[in-house]
This record gives sequence, C-alpha cells and structure tokens, in this order.
Amino acid sequence: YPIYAQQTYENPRESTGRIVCANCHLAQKNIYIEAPKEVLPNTVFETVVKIPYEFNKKQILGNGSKGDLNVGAVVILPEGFKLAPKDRMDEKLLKKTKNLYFNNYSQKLDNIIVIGPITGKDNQEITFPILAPDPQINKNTHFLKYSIYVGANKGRGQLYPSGEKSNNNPIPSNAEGRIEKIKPNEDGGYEVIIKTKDDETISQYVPIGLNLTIKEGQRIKAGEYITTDPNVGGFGQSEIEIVLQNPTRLISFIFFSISVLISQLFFVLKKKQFEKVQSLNQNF
Amino acid sequence: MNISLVDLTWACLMVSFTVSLALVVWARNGF
Repeated sequence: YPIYAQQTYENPRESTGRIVCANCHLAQKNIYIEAPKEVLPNTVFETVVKIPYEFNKKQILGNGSKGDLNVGAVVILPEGFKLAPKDRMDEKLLKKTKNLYFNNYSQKLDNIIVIGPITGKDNQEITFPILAPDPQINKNTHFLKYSIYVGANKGRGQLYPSGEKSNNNPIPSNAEGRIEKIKPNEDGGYEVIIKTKDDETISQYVPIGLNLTIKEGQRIKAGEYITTDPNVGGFGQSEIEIVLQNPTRLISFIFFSISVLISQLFFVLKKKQFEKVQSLNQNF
Repeated sequence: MNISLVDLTWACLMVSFTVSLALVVWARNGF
C-alpha cells in the first residue's frame, strides 16, 4: 500500500533512483509511462501510466483465497509540478479521472502523487492530470528539461514494512531430509513433517492457498521450495523526460521560420527574373 | 481539437523544410 511508504519514508525515491515500493514488492513487472515531450507553463497536461496484466490471473489474498489484482502507482514530478485542480481540467480529462482519487505523497511534497490500491481490471491505464508551473510566478522553476519518475505495482507485496513475509511467497523447506508426512490442517493449510538425516523430525506449516509441489517420501534439500510461487504481480519503475518550454522561444522560432521562408522565396524569384532576362538575350 | 503553440511550432518547422526543398527544386528547374 502507498500508505506504508508514506509512513516510513520521507521521500519515496532513494538516492540510488530506486522507488521504495520495491522494498516490499520484490517481484518485477514492466510498466510504461507516456507524457508530452514538452509543455507550456501553467497548462494542464496528462501523464498516462500503463500497468498491463492478464485478466485471468488471480492472486492469493491475505486469508488464502484467490482474488483480483489491485494496482497502484506513484508519480514523482519535478519540483513545482503538481496535481491539476478540478476546475482547470477539461471535460475529457475529468471523464478519464472520474473514479480516481489521487493524493499527494505528503503535505511537504505536493510534486509526488500517489494512487492506489484501485481495482486492476478497470485501471490498466491511469491518467494523471498535471499542472505545469509558471517560472515567472514560481521562481524555483526554470525553462529546462526535467525527468518524471514513475513506479507502479500490481498485486500484493512479498514483505510487510515490518520485514515479515506475506503469504504471497513460495515456502522454502526448513531442513534437508525426507518428507515423512503431509497432514492437511483444519484451517485449510498443511503441516509438512520432514525427517532429517539425524532422525530428527521437523514440522513445517504451509498456510492455506498455497499449492504443494512435494509428495510424501520425496527427498528435499534445505531451502528448496515446497510450494509453487503464488505471486502473479510485481512492481516496475520507469522514467521519461519532459521540457518546460518557454512560449516566447516558440514564437520567436515561428517568426524566424517565416523570415527564412520569405527570404528564400525572394532569392528564387530573383533567380527566375534573371533567367528570363538571360533567355531574351538582353544586356543592360 | 485545440492546437497548442507547441504543435504550431512543429508545423512551422516542417512547413519551412518542405517549402525550402520545393523552392530549391523550382529554382533549379527540376531535380
């Protein structure tokens, strides 16, 4: 959950560039980001985070049953950029973001936007409405190229912030030996009894919802997985560059282009006139 | 659809390239 990161870390992007969600969501999956190449100051634009996954995949929930995947995302904008207020969005953007509730990462960091968990089925593409700053008003921003960092996740994590493992992990064997017995538990899980080389019996608990990959009588090594990996989700991060463009530069470029066009046209017209005179063989 | 200043600048760049090439072809009376 984003709230775990918000409670634990002041800034979600570590100095190495890793986004802190990866500390609990250990599995990796690809995500994609789309943003305009350049934006003008004080305008609203959209950044789309794509979190693809296969709909038929179900994840293991905390109680061991199977359920749909949730998604969540964090977008780390350059300083000065922030979530667009509702009254600045056009109808199309309002419609796209109707059922999405964005939050700032913290009161201090309003350039970092988090969302989630939200249902994955309807939100494989999350549109973030963003307001570009105006360097004339906000003196801390400049007309430069900036990076937008994004992290997005689907499915449950492998660890809790306390460091405990969630049940969204395969279970490794605690000891080397032979599987003596597999007893189903009342709660739906299993108790696996392993007999080691020294004739010790070790009992290992496998929670509900995990599928065993072992049989009675089978030999296993310590650390070998005795269940399948229930995880179907994962976390991914990406970045994209965006230019905060000065409109005066663009207007001057347009005028420069027009002046180049006109001068070129006159050079060619002059050449044509000269050729006409030449062809009439008239010398002045 | 709104055309922003950014789009207009790109259009201007592409038009100036195209027209410039066309003018050169015209001035040389063909390729």
